[in-house]
Amino acid sequence: MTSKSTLLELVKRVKELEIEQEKTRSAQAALKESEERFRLISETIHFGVFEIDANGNCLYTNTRYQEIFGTNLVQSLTTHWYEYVAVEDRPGIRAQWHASAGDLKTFSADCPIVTPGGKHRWVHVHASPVFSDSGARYTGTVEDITSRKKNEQELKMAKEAAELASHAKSQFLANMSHEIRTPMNGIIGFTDLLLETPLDDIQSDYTQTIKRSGEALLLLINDILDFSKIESGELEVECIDFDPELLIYDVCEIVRPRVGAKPIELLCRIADDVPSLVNGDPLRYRQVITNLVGNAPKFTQQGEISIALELVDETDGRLKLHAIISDTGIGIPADKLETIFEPFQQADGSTSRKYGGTGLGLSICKQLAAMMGGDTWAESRMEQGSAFHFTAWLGKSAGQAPPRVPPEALVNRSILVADDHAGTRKILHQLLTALHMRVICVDSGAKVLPRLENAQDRGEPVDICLIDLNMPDMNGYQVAQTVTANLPHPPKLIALSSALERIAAKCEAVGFHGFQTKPVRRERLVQMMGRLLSEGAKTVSEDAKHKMHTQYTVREAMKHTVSILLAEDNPVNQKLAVLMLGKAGYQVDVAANGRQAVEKYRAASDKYDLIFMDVQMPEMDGKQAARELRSQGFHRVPIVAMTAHAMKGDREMCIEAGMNDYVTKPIKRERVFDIIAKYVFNQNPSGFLRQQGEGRGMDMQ
Amino acid sequence: MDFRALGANLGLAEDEYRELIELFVESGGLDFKNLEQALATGDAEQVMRCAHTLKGASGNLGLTDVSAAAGRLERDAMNNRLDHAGQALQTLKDSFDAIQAQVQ
Repeated sequence: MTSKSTLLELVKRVKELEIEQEKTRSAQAALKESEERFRLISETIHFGVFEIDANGNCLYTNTRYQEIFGTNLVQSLTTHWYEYVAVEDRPGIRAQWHASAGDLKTFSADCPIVTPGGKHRWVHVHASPVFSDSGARYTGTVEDITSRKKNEQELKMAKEAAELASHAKSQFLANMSHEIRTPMNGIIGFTDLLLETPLDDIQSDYTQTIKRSGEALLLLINDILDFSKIESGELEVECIDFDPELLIYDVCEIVRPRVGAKPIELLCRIADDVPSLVNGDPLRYRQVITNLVGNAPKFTQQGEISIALELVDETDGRLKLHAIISDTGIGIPADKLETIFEPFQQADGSTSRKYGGTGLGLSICKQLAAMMGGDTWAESRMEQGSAFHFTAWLGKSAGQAPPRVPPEALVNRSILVADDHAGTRKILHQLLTALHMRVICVDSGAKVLPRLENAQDRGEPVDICLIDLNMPDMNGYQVAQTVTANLPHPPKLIALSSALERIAAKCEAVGFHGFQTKPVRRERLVQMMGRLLSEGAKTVSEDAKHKMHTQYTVREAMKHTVSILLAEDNPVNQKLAVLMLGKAGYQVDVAANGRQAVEKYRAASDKYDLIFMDVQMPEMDGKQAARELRSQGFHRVPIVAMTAHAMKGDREMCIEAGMNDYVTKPIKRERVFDIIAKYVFNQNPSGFLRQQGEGRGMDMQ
Repeated sequence: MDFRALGANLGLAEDEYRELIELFVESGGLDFKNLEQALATGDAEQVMRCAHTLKGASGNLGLTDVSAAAGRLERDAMNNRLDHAGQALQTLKDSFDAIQAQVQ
């Protein structure tokens, strides 16, 4: 049995061996297959593959690795890959590799290499540590990124070039705009001169068109110049003290003529806590407000246009003003509210054809607001109106802000306001209450007399009435007539009107004592009321005391409303004077010769506070013009000669012709400003005499 | 010529002053042409008028050379001494050209 069992044992062993062998064979096949798969992947893959042992010896490289480094198998196994890195980068890369290897960390870097054949390439090497029985090794991949690097570099260069080009373009535009402006000034200046020569109707018509087109073009160019200056970062914001309230009223005065005869109320609401002086760039601040309000008259046919100014935030040294410009116009579609602030965009392409404009204005506003740390945005309802918002951070004025002390003559005096417009009543109520006056408001003309009689019966007679000329039931003229006819001691009556035309004579005839245009300016109204109420009752010393309190305020206020007529034929001198006076805050109108000066003054005699008159002018010289004006009864307006002192006795001749003073050329800034101070401010410290109009006994504004 | 400084004297920025100068070169060029013509025809009154204009505008801009030369011409014309005018005209032309050259 032993042999039998041995045999069986043997067969069993053979069987086992066969199974073992089969296992081994299939394992070998699997291994071979796996090796084959790895080899295939390794040889066809786009990446170079390598393996480096703990001692830094290269154990394996694939074909792609050899291709990338430009070597054969032996070279690739005997030379460390970092030896191919370009000389200048090699020490850095080598250090990085050893640092990673020392800490057994992943290595990853873009490296410039030079192949043994001298080819320059960029490669990305990525290697990670692998831990196995035979110790730590690094396996890694190498990717040829030459073309990617090249693209990156080209992209970077292209970007730099584009930025440079964009800057150059802005710069070019800024230069060009300036270059265009100069001949434009020539065109407009000489067109003015041409208009002074004898022209027939057609020629004059054509010339006027040239002038209008020229001026429109100049406006456009100025917009483009501003825009490109902002784009190229060249626009600087100034820091000087200014009165935001005056600025808003000044803007209103520019807007009023554009409203024309349309039934529109123009309102200004200045919150009481808005300081009278802030520090910033008044020119740019005004530019934003002017631009935002500039559209309102175009798109509004009736209702109201208002500018409100509020203080919304405050820190130690700064304050944030919020201006809201609203109208009751056609409105802006909701989907256009954002885009109108983008350059060259208007709510509708047809808008620009119908209403004009460059499409740059609002975009400039947005950027200027951003420069002042604020923003602009719009809200609107179709057919109901739009509201433009503008916020800006401004500095607090370091200077002592003149306190807005209510003149004593007005304190506790009683005043009645008659206006059918609720907004106007509200603003006037606020303004007058702040002056410590007792205020009664009525919304119709018919209510005026009963209220006055009632007050008189109670022994609290009304001192002064502000009466809107344009009320539906009973207009201001009728009210004034009724009041003066029925009251033995009528109050002082001041007419309020949005109309541009001078209706002074008519107002005077029905018994008004004064006249104010809307929106009513606080300083002007205060001055007028103060004078009306203190007439005859005030002693000289009181007057002097009062003057000391308010001189600064009034002077600053006046500066912005002082209008100067400049008669000068030379375009250079004209422009110089306009620049100089305009920068100082004065309004300047230019007449190109004596005759034009006389005509301009006669057409708006209550507008001008001072005439600067060049002596030597074509057609009608300065002396003749002065004589003409004086002989027509305009005695009050100061006329100051500008003379080059060509002849002796020039001065005497100017005085003899009726002029008040003279300045010699070359014109000195200080002398000009002294003259203005002397004839507009000092001689008449309250500064409002001109409102009386030439030769009339009535207060005008 | 330092346009920046000259502008500053008048309280103007350089580009504003430059604009004035360019306007002066343009309008002054016309005056100068008229002046030359008037000199050629011996029209003393016209010489006086043109020189006066040039003097005034250049003086206002602080261009003292032009202003002085124009002033001399004006005086010569006033005294009816146009025979002396040649040299003053040349000085005027030179200083005027210098400005023109700087502007362009």
